Amino acid sequence: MSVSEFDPVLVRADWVPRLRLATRILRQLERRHVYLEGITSLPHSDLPVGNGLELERLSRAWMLVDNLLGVYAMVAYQLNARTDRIAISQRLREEAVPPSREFLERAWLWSSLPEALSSGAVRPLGVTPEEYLRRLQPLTDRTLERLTDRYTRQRRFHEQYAPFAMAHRHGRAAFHLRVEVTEGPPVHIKLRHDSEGITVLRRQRSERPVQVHTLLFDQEYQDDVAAVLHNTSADIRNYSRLLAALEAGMPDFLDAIERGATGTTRGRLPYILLAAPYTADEQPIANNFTEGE
Amino acid sequence: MTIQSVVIDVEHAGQLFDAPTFENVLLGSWEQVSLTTQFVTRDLLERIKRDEPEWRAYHSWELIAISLETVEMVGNVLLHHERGGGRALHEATNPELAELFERYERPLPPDAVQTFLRLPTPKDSLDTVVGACFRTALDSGARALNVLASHWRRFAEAVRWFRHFPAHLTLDDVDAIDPGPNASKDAIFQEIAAMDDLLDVAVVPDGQGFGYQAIREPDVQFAARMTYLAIEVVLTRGGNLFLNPESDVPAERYPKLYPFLVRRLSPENRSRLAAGGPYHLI
Repeated sequence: MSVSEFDPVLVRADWVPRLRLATRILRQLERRHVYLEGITSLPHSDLPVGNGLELERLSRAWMLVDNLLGVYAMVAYQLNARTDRIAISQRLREEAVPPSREFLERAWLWSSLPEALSSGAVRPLGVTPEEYLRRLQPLTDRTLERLTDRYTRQRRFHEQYAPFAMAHRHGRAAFHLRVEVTEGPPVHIKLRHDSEGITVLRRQRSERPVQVHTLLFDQEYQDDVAAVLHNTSADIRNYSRLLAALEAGMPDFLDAIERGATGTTRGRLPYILLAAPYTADEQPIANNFTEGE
Repeated sequence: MTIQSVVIDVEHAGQLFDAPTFENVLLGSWEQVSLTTQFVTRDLLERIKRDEPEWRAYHSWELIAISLETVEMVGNVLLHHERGGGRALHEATNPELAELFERYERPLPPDAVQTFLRLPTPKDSLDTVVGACFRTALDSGARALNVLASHWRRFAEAVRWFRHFPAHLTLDDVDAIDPGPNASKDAIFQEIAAMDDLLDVAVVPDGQGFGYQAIREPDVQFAARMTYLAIEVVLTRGGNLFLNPESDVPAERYPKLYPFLVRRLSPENRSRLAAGGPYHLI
């Protein structure tokens, strides 16, 4: 496909709104992350009880991961943020863990690179597009490995902490309780107050068993949240840079396809590489991309 | 182990859900969450006072979302009450809440409010003043449920957008994407231009047109009040579930009257009602 075959009407009506939507949601996620950091550094001494802010932190960390995973699904499957909201959640749940390479290539837009190169929308640096892609391959492989690892950790966190985040979202209904089960016979079950942990009880129907989940705010929990926030905030910044670069390049791209011109990209390519360290042979190629965090 | 999970089979689940203390224990333990919720709400109000516009908008969305989450606890407790138990107070679905709050937006009979809040009729109910004050308190309780229901219904969709997936466009985006005349866009621009005290507008594409979520400064102050009100409602019911007539502490011995129930009474009449109950004024 050559540049002149891109339809400017389609690009304006479909690509540009999608790009702006994704850019704005990423900005909102950046704010959410800053707020999360701010709220958890509030002086706890003002609070009469100890772990309340941990729950606020967990709830927002989970929401951040949930929203980011939603963005991946939206971009990878080109879903409409408004009308396909349920489909976004379904895709999120159905996507394999670890994810397929194809999914991550679509989510991080690497899948568009071959077409962009062959169309002349980006300049292949003095070699054929095929040769350029061949040299790039080890770098994209390493990038996708790291993205796979991050996505897998985010999905596991999302699944593991969902009962607590969902209960908090709907009624802030997490209870500082512990369920004690004394094995029988007879079996004795009772609830007792416990400031150190929170419990949620899931019972979808009265004829179904009750699932009881208790979360302790211990070191393992602290490590889980810190690790997922580290990865997620880096991914949000990387994705924001990718989208910002695409948005900045869009006027030139539109101008080029309307004129039927080629070679619209100036400077670095917007795709995010996460493949450092680079060999001497790889470095010149890596220099043409944006290095992610 | 951070998360401990156990499954309780149907045979033994009744020990939890059917225990007369079940709701009492849950709501008693929720008091800790309610204290944090108030703390976070006050912090947000302070932030909003000193924020730049971008952050004022974000923090306002947070505050409104927290108010809806807290009102959902009222919804959970109402459902639990209507169904005579059997629920864990965090399992209400959105369709259930929508149906519930639609009903609770309508006028409520005083006896239904009295039952829900577990307020016994005052011992001195034949006293004209005490009787009238009690009726006023129940009317205030009914209005509280009406206004909480209305608040939830008004902002449920906006908060769902903000919490679940805040994809949106700005007004500038809309103009850039769709520079020509467009009935949907033009209608939004006209409505927004007519709004006072606007804090933020999030335009959400809707098929070929646009919808939007907007918040105004009065919405924020109102949402904070709704958070505090929802907490008072939940704690009234929770606190009145099990009273101990033998206790030396009035808060344990007498049913509680939180401020939302007595706000319309003069200080003298509040005291008359408390003595005539007897009730414990919070």
